[in-house]
Amino acid sequence: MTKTAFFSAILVFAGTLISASLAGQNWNSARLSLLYGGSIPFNFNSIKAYSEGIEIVDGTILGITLTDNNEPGHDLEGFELTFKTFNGQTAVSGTVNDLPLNVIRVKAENNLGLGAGTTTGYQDLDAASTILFSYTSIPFSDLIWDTHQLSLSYECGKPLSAGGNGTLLGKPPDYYAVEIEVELIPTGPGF
Amino acid sequence: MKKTLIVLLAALLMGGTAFGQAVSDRNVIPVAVNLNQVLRMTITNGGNIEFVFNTIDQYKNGISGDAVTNTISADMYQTDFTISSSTRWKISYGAESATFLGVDDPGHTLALNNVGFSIISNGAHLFETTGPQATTDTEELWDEQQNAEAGVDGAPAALVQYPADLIEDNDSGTQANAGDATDNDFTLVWRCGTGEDTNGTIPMASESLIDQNPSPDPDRYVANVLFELSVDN
Repeated sequence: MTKTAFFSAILVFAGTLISASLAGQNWNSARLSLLYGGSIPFNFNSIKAYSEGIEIVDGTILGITLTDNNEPGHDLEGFELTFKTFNGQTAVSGTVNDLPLNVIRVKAENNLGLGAGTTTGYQDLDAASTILFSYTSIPFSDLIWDTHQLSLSYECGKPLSAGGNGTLLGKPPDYYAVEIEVELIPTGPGF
Repeated sequence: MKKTLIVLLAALLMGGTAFGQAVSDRNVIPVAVNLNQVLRMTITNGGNIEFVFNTIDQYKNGISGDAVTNTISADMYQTDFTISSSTRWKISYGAESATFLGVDDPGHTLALNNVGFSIISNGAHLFETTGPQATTDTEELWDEQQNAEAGVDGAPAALVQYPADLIEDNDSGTQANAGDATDNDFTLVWRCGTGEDTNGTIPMASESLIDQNPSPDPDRYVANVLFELSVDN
């Protein structure tokens, strides 16, 4: 490699870094930080659990980071938190049998610093996105993960009388699994 | 060098474009549902039933839990049991031996069909009452087993040798017979020597003990009745 080519490569690399840095500061950004509860287990091992379902309150804590860079045409006003199955899964899959997605329901609530937001309560898990929580603040103040947090609660196999979609009584014993994707979406004009 | 500057400029533009979009962020949380099987039968009353014949009237008419009006006495001829099951279930039952065997003289036998029972559902789940599968009635969760059907219809069925299906799921596509002890609560009402032979499938002996030929030898006759709870898929 000639000296000219070497310095050229250095310049290209440096230029790319500079451009990334500048752009990162000039535009809005959103970050979800998984602070607690990266895996949610439901263990059904008694008739009571089968009859009444299982609720895991505050099973996951998410930190929210959202900054406004005052870019013209992009007025950040808040965010929405949505959830759906990861990769388009259409069932809670077991070794042999499947469970319908709506045996699992999820709720997002303010855990810290987001009391002005609105929760939609428990929502059925689905392959399509569903809004769990929305937050709007005009003018917008930046949100930082350690002072702005959401909690996710989960329920599984709740009876109809308790607002669920039916118990798991009669379902074949198995180990069923599904992955849930949560998404933080900035909102406001231009988004 | 000129070419290098062009590349550098392109890199700057590309960087700006890539970060110029509104950004959202995602996380993935795995959720597991572990269904452990729960299957339990509990006999809450009447684990040992004994008929004692010591009057001619009893030899003529038999002894029946249905005929006893005194509640305390009636309990002597009833077996109460509950089922707690997380899955569809069935019960097989039957006498351990082909006949009752005499305790004093093992050579003495008494036919099983001298003893019979009717079955009552005390819980939230009910037996089917009409048709092969009452799928429109989600509470009628037990199939019309011949013994159970007989019991429900009021015609007691004779005791048979193990194994025979007593209660099973009705294969409804919408609801299983799984449930807790308040859903699946039963009473077997036993009788002996009553001559109730109206069951069309497994009738009891027609003759009372006093009319049988040969007459049963006086003895204490025993047989273990086995119950097995299992998954009914």
